[in-house]
Amino acid sequence: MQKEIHTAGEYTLSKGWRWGLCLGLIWILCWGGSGCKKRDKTVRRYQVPKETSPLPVELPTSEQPGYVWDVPQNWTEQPASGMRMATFMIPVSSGEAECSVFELVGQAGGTVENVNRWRRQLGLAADTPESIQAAAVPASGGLGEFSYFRLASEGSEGKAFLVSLMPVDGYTLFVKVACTTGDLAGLEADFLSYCKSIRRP
Amino acid sequence: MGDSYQPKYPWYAHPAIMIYATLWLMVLLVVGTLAQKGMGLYLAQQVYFSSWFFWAGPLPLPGGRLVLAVIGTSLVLKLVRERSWGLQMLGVNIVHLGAVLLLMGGFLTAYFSEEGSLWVSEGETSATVRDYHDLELALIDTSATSHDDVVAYAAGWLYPGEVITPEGTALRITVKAFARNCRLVQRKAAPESSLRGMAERFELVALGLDPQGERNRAGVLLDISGVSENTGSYLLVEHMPVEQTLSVGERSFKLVLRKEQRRLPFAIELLDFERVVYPGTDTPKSFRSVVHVVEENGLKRRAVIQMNEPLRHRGYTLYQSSFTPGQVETSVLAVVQNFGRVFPYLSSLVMCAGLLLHLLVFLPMLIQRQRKPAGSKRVEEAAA
Repeated sequence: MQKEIHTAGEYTLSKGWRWGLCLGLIWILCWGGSGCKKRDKTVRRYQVPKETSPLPVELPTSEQPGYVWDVPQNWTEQPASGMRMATFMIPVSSGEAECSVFELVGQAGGTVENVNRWRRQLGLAADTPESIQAAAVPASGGLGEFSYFRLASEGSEGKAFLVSLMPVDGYTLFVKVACTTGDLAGLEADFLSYCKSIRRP
Repeated sequence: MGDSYQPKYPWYAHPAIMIYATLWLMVLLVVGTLAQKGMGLYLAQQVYFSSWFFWAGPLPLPGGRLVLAVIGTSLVLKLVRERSWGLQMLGVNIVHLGAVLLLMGGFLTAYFSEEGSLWVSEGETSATVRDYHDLELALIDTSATSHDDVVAYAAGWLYPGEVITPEGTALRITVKAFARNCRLVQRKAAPESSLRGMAERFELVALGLDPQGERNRAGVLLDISGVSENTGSYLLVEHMPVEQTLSVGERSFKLVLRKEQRRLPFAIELLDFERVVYPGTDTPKSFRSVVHVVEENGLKRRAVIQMNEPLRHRGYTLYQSSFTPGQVETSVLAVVQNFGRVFPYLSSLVMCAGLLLHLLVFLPMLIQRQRKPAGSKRVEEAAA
């Protein structure tokens, strides 16, 4: 049998070798491409009106074990709904007030921004950070130090809020009572008692 | 006998491309669906469907984007080089054109669409859309009384070693560490003198990504220099309890790590939010937001956004997504800008037209075949 002699110029790769080299090249390109992902390094510049306040970000509540509390005698707990941890209906002279409890990540926009947002909801003008700090009523309870605010619009039939903000492990627990201005004073004692009773199990 | 087989199709338009590509898409669908349970929907989409390739161990495998690109290229080449546009092939070619339109729409959606959420409370107005996933580092100049000047650095800047030098300031911000999901841990040891703000009391601990993407809380450690009163290391996390402020001369800034925010060319004023429940239950039947669409010139237009009835305005589509309950409720609207949104409809129409045409062209022949006696068919075949 005549032996086939190949010179360097005549030598060709077999089909298997060609496939192998192609696949190897593809692998190298993929590996190189993985390390060279394009990053978005755009820089955007724009203006926003001063009044725009960051809204609370309601995210799934923490994985923490939850809270327990002592419910004032005449408060009626409602079924849990949406993102609220609890809702209570409170009989008052003008009908019923509502207390809602919810937890947001971080300070959920900041105390000043939240208080001004509630003020706007009551038809009140935004207040300065200094006035808001001065209006905060300090208190202490099962979750530590916290503060609450009395916010009321004009007239006894106007809307009013009692709101407490309790920082807990990187979250903020809000307790918010919505009532009329005329009922605000009468609800404060029970509201404060409830807030102070909130604690970890 | 002995003649070599002549392929009917050119290599770029061979049906095998479509067959194997479709089979691989089915595999991707199954694998991606199973994977999303562990890694979360968004990450599974990114890895299996929106990628050009992904790694299965040491092996690179084609991702959804590559497979669709191959299908699209094959179809386009076939149409461009198609010589047969006679009546018999016209319907088929039109169907293929419809498929190309569908893939073009997918391309536009993949590369140019944006979506996010807009949160607005009753009685308030907002034009800010927050992205669901992408982050930004925002340096906000709060010095002016009437407005804030925002400079937002996209997520590509949030890598260790990146240096940000904001224009008009002497600040130099160097990213020391970044974690897409993190936890803050209180420092046990006394802080170094260079640590400022939250970094004095907390340190960053990186965590694995949570499958539920919204639970991931990003954090970044920055070195700030260039202005002596601000020099030091700062820790920022998403939704941090107290925003980090900086004073540079007479100017005051806030430095915020947050989801990317964009401004709409119009604003939404929420007049009223309604939540309708099924009678006798607490199960929501529908959510409804009555809004004013406020243009830049101040003109207002009343509109209602509710489930299955979005608002379409200036290329944006606003859907009723969710709400935050309370005495004064906050409506959450999903905002989508999708340049490819009409392509699926267009593609469906074109493909239907192509199929109909194909049917009409071949219907007389089919009817004729039905009518011919069985014997005549055998005679014809024998003659052939």
